[in-house]
Amino acid sequence: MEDNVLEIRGVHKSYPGFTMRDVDLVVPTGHVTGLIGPNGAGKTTLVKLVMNLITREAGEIDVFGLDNLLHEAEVKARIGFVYDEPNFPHDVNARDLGRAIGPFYRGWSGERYRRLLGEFGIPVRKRFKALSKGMQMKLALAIALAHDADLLLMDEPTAGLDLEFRRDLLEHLAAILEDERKSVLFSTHVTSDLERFADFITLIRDGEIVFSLPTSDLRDAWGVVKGAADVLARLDAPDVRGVRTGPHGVEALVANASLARTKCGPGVVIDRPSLDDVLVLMTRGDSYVESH
Amino acid sequence: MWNLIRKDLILGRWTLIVNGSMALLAPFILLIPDEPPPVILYVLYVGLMCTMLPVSLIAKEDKFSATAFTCSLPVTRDDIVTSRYLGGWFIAGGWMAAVLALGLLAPAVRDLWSNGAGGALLGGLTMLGLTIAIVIPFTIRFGMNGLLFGLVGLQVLGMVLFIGALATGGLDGIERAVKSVIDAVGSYHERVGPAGFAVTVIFGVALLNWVSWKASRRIFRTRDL
Repeated sequence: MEDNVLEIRGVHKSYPGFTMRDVDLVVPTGHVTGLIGPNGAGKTTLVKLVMNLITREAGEIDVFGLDNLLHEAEVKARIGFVYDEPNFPHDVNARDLGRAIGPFYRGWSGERYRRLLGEFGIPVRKRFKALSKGMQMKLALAIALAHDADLLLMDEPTAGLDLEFRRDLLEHLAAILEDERKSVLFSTHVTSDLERFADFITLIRDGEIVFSLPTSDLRDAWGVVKGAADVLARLDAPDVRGVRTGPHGVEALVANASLARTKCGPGVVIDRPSLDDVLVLMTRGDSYVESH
Repeated sequence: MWNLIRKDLILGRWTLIVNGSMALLAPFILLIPDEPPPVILYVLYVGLMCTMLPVSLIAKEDKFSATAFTCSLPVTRDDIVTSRYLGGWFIAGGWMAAVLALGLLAPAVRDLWSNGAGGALLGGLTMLGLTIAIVIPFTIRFGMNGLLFGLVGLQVLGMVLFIGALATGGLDGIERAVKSVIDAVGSYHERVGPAGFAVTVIFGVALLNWVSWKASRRIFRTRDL
């Protein structure tokens, strides 16, 4: 078994108005990796590159240790893929899709598919067009989960889903991950979905990977320093990852909370950052130089 | 490969049933006039209707943006293109054969076949092959809208050229060019005989389909979805 289920090295892709340059990313086997970033950051582009839905201009992508272009069919046979907007012909139903898609996958289980449809409450004979957006996404999830994939590659899978189902889905994925060979790459801008679920977090911004870290590092080592504007002067510049200035002072995201605590002394609040804090401060905050 | 054709047959069955029924109407439409049409016209009509079946499947997939879904399945892009051609021949050719066979149940259609059956079948096959070879790459690259715009554009171009030829007195030149092509084909037919001519046409259609298939693979490999 490979240490990393997915390795992306030096990948480059450009569209008019958007460039993804020299992206490196590793997704360890047996873990959930959350891919976060604002809209337009490049999350979907990255997922599409792995699935060869768009062509890369440079770089290498290995999935299960195999090049994703040279071994395209072999690689995809082991991936359960959920697209951010499930697009099936509108006049087909879940039963038709199962019959059409099942034969492509060696691990496909019709019984498992029917069970998932039942659990997700999807009417088997209702046309795709007549399903709500949430139901359409659930159908895509049922298809992705029905063939016992080794890697679940999910682009915004919880978009359009209600809170209760999102929780059920995460529990379902957690159960799948009890098998240590399974891995998940989960792209979302709903960071609360990943808070407890993801083992690793990768932040992408403007087509570049900002960081890729174990969630525990973010939770335990990072901090949000809150205080008056002059608190920034006491922090080490390289340690500050993002700053937001508001009417009541500043918030600074730091990669070493204990060092910041020592530097700032008492009277300064340092909280554990939520993923939302990380996302907001690192992508929409002010620059440290401007604030300082 | 066969899984892709099977998928298209399952997910596109209503499209096939509706469009395929249109081809079944061919004997009735063509037998409405008092003067029965030449059998080749009947075969070409059926062939054209049947060729639209695989094209409509690709167009349907494009309409619902489902091409990305097909490409996410464990197949290569080359497999997808090859299945378009094999499926195209299988569906269009199979249905054409079935419709022509069913047409024989009508006595009036049987009368049509009494004159020049071989040439008509070769004409139908040529039309099937030419349409698949030309339309599939275009649809793969530009989708259904692109195909429609392309057809409308060709019509407009034809009209402009026709008007231009009329205005400049070049119509005779076009007529002479077309006539010389027809004469060349006719003389070749006389020289090699019906069997040799049929072999040449079948080889030409197969070659064109091979070139079209290679071009489609190249086009589809680099298409972003």
